[in-house]
Amino acid sequence: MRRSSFYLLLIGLIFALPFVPALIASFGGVWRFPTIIPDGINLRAWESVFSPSSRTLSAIFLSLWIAFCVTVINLMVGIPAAYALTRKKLRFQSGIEAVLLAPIFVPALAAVMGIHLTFLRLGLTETVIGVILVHLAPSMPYVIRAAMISFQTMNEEAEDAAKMLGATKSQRFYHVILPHLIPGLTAGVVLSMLISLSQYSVTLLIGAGQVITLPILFVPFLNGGDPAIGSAYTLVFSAVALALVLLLDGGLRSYYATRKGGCHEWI
Amino acid sequence: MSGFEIKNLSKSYGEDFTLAPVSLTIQSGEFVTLLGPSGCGKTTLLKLVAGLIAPDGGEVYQQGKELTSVPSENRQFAMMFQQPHLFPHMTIAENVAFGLRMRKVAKKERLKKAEEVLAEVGLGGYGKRYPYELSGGQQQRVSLARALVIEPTLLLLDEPFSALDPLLKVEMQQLVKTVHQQTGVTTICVTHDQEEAFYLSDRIALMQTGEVVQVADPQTLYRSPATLAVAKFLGYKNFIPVKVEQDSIVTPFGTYAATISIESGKYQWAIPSEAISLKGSLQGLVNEVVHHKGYIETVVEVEGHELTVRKLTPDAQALRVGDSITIGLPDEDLVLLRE
Amino acid sequence: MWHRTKDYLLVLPALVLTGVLFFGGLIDGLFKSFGYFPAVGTSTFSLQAYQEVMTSSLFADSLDLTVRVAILSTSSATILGVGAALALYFMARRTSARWLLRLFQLPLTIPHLAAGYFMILLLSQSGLIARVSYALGWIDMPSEFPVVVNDRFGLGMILTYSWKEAPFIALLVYPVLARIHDNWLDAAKVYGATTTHYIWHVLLPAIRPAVITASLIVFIYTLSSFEVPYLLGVTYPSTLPVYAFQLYTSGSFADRSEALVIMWLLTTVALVVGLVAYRFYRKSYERGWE
Repeated sequence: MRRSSFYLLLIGLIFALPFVPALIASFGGVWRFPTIIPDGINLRAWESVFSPSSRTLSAIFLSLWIAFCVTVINLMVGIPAAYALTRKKLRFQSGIEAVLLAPIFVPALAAVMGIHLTFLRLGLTETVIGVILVHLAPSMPYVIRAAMISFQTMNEEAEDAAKMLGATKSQRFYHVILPHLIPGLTAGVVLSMLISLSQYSVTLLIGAGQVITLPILFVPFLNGGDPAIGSAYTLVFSAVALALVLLLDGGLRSYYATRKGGCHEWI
Repeated sequence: MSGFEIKNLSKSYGEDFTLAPVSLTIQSGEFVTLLGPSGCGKTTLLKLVAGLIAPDGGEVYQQGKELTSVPSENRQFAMMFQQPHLFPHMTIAENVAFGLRMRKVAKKERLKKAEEVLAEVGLGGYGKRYPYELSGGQQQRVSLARALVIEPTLLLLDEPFSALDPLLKVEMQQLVKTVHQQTGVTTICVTHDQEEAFYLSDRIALMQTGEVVQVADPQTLYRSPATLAVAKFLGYKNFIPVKVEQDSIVTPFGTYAATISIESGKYQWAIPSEAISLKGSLQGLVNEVVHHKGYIETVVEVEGHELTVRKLTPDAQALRVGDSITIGLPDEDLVLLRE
Repeated sequence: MWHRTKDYLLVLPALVLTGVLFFGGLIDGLFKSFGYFPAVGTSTFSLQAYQEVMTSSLFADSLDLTVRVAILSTSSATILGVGAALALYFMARRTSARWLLRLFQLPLTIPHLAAGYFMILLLSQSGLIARVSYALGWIDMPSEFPVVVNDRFGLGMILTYSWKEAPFIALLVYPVLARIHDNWLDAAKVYGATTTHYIWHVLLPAIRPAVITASLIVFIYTLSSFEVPYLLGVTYPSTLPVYAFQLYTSGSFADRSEALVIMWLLTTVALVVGLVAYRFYRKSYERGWE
């Protein structure tokens, strides 16, 4: 084995290692020190996580619903903004870009803490809408960025070509721009969903315990709770995130595998 | 019948570039080329005609109907670009049928039509493939088919062959010429390639620094360039200062009688290198001999003036530097140009 | 003119949402950090909260911990990430590294909360490694295993961040490396360069802007994120975001002002570092590495 392959394998192992104890703990029933491998498989933790009274499923759905709404709003406002920023000559272009992308750097908690009392007054706390609103700022820049890159890699003349063939504005968007945009946008959509999904502190502050997303539901189990249940929850959480990525990414990949031309720009 | 008319069309991009008001009338079925060096404004003019950019002033008419403010998608034109710009997510047939689909032609009909046009451009049977499976030259053919399938009233070509390698380029030019002869579609082509312009065009509009400087059929354009700059662009190398006095033209090599009336004064006499013969009354000395692919270029000094001669005859092949020879200059239809 | 206005209408919705929800929130917070709470009748500005924060030893300890964790996490993630990217680069010269890239993306997908908890299960005194150590006879009981998570130094956080952010850096840097032409190595070898020379004098300078951008982003993140220190920290000292959150949720308006002072401090640092990162990003973009 060559040296670099060895390093790579080592690095790969280091990245995979942290999943191992969570898997062991969640299937082990009681996992007492110093046993490394528990005696036999015990589904106690998983049963408890998915028992109807645990409300896990509804929390997963709520989390996904919020992430979905956040992403749809991001797409609706982000695509036109990215289009204008890349295709039109705007005054204050770089200023607008800086304003729209700034939330990437600034902790979301800072803005949410600032706006909390105003939300309280407007009756937006303890509501799903309030939570959706505070998930927008940290995720929107990624959608805008992804859309901008897609627009930049798209030759404007292709649009002209469609125009000359009689395609109206909406036809051009649907038949030419969107098919080109989708692969690049996937990265933005995945990030937007993941960011919304993994928010904890801002959801806690604005949802005030009434909007129970998956993290809000399980974090109490992590602080000194039963490791088996904590492990099961974190694995469920990771699985939801992973499934989301694989579904969006993989679905698109297989779609474009047959229509390979579109793939060149985005892999 | 005048097919297409451009009236005083102008466009400026700040101080960097200005297209002077351009007027040009194109007959129905005519193939007109906008020829000029890069940056002369030919592509801008084409895009104005296409409606892809809005003019600062002027109008365009088709069959007497004003089109200036009609959006390009409603003009029923077609355009080929330097790059094929095929839509990567559609098959070749879908690409070709795109314009028909935009016009709500039924699927079966438009795909059938697409296959027909694909056959016309020599790509019969390629319909089910995707663009990435085709070579650059084939893609450009598809692009041509896509433009033709909508039966455009005006076909616009924006340097469509300049990205192709020389052999493919010639093949495509032949195809376009054939297609033009068969369909009779009015065509405006933009190019910086003179060979291409001369081969394809019924008429050439020569453009320099944002202006159309001469419009003529290829033969006339080459035989009688309108200005010194045009002559230089077309490759003239011999410019001899002459003087016109009444009806005679005084040159360093003798005096000629003017066949048409011409104003007295100083001129430059532009002599095509091919028009000089290697037999004649003028004594000269060979200063330089360079062998090119299709001709031999000889620089001959006559009366203190260097003249470039292009020939591929046996006597031209025998010439060596330092030889004393005689040459003959053309003595009618002299091209006299103001400084 | 109407045409122009239409272009601005395209960016307007995004600008309004960002402006109100993000900048509005920040400014709202800034007012409140000055003790301006008109809803409860205090509409005067005071610097009291700033004074309280600056002189508090809780803040000083918290700042100390936060900066330490951020700097050490960033350094270790950068070294690991660049190393991984280089390994990928040399691997990819021979085989397709696509599946490896996929493997690298795995930690990126795992939310920080989950990652933090995995680290606890792995590294705590009764964690998997402690058990393996026991089985190997290195320790006799859990308390003999060093405190690695929920420790005062912040090692648990640093390890978690290294695990999570190293792939992030690798994935930002690798595309730049992938675009470096193979011929460069051949050219370098013709002139007698060893692979080490090549890495040092060609590859590293080429990826420098991308590495700096990536690590500055990681630095800001580790400085200001909440979830990992919330799980892996100790009660005292806590990192600044956690400290601010505790202050804010404790309820008194004076504490809330102090919490917002801290968040504003983090925001300012984040914006300044962010600007620098953006500069480097542009630079790498202009040079054509990106």
